[in-house]
Amino acid sequence: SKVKSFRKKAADALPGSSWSPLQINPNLPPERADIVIVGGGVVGWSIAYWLKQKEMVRGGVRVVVVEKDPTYSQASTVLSAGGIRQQFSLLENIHLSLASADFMRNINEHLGVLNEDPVDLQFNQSGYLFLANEEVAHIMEENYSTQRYAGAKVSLLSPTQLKQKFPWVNTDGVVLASYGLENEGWFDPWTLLNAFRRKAISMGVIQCYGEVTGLLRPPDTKTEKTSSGDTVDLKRIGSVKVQMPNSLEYQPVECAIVVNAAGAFSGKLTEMLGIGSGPKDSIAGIPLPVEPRKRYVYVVHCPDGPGLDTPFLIDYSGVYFRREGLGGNYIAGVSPEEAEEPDTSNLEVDHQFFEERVWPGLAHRVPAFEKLKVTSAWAGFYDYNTFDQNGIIGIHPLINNMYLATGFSGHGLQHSPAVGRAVAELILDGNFKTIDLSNFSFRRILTQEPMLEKNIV
Amino acid sequence: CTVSAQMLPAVGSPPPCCQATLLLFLTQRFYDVEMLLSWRSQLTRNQLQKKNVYYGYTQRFYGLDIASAYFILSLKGGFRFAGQSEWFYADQKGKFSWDFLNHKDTPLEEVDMSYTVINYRGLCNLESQRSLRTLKLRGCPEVDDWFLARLHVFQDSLEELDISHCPRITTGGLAALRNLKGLKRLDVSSLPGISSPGLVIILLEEMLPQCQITATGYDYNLNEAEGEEEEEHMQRQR
Repeated sequence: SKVKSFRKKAADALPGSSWSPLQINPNLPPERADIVIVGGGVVGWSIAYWLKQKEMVRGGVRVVVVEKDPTYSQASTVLSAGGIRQQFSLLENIHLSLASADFMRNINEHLGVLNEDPVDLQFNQSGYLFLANEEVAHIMEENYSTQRYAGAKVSLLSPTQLKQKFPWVNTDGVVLASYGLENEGWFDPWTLLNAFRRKAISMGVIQCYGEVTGLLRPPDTKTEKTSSGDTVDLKRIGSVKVQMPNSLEYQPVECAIVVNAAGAFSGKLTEMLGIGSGPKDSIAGIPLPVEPRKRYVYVVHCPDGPGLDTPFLIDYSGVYFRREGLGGNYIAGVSPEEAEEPDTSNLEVDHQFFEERVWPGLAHRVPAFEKLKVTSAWAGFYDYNTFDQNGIIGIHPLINNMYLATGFSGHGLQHSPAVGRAVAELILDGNFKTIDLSNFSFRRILTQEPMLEKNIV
Repeated sequence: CTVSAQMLPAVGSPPPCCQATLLLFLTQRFYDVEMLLSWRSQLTRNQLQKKNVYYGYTQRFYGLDIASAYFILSLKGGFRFAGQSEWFYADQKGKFSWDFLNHKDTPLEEVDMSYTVINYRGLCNLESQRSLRTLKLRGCPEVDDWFLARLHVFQDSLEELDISHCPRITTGGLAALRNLKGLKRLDVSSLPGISSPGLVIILLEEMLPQCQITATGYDYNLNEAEGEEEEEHMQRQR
């Protein structure tokens, strides 16, 4: 039989057969693509889906989504608490949330694939409850009128009404509460990601697991001169170097447009082009202000805790919690102060943080939580925009074909369907067509005009 | 096409019947069949949306109440005006009497949309009825969690709600009933979407203390008993 296999191999090697000793790695991305989306999180796949949804001709754009980690172990999407709310102060954010809730309501119409199971997001329609003390009550009232103007269904509650509705809340210090009636709650982020991914792949998007290690210039780069004679290096991405996981093999993907949806790691991508390392008072000297920030989420078990109607409660001190399942489990956390930001080199959880910062706030607000047990915890990264904690959507001024869709600082998941549609409109139509997000462009970082959320927290 | 010629039954077996030849023909045209099926599902979805369209024209010319009444009758539901005692129904074929036009500007008090295809978009036609007391949605295939969340517009007036036998409602949607503070009677029988009905009913009773909850049609037996019965059955077979 050894002779037989040898004869078979020799016959294969003869000219006329398609066998070759050099085998091409089937996981490599294609050599050419129209749009390369760097980052396979929910924002990246949402953009890929909407690009395919909006193309006029079948096969009109070739889209490749490059994701570094197939296990999604550090991705912000899957480590998120999964909430969606309309209670923002900026009109754009409210519109994004409303559009995303509309999308999720009709998710099977958008993301249903023939002969596959329907998408079940396990959406809990429980609403968000924000509590305000005296100092921030006026901000809450202003936000309430903005939210009602934009069409969000929110109601204001006084402390007595709050106590009547939720008898387990300690209304000590609370002057006003804002309660979402509809389109607010939490859902399963992994299901949403997979739904986007499944639908996009069924429409022809190419998925590639690999890390972007370099951005190469096109062969015919020109340099421009300003009026005073200095040369401006207009960068343009010619091809994206994608390296295979655990291997030295790489494939340069020649592309027309690169979308930076890398989340917490977006800053590293723009650094590859030298953004941030130019002279201090030039555009090239301003780095992309997105960096990873670690946030802890603790799962606690309290048998006497609040019941089925528990909203996603956010206190004015920053402590938040929500119900998880039906067995008396809750998810809690708090945003740390600037001074005590944890180290972002790993995703280890600090349990001392719960004892010091989360539990006192929880027990003060909900007396039943004085007796609880921490069953589990995890940590995830925010793609934190250090400038104004809101997303950056648009073309980078210096890199003429890189679109940014990053820096959402904790709101990426809930805005992902609407942001995906906005970026697809920007790429294919040239302008925003449904929601005008021009206030979220990179320009505000150049002109140093922050779009801050007037939050009570 | 040459491959299928090789796949055809070998010499000696009887020639394939019409059904088999049809299936073999269709296997060559997989993508066409997929396209036809997706068109069909798109068509059913469009028909559903047409049924639940916003009755803006009727609202503009006849007022909000007549528009809601007309919407309910076109979907083969029934309703009762406030202050009247007779119900207006549409029969199975969709025929209804136009007598309801005589009662102008009377709000609706009880609405029965059982076994109709009302969905979230159709609910916008009923939102104007802020004095609605009873809403029956038994066996509606398109009523899902988002529909229940929208019912908060009736939070002051709704006293009775029947959502039994609706296949799309899950536990997350039942949490949306928290807003209906005036609810006195709730029927959540035989909801196939709930995984642990006993626990959910208890939590619902805690959430709505003044409400009388009817929840029949659930099998509250422990799974262990079923497992033991199966084991005995297997042993007897041996």
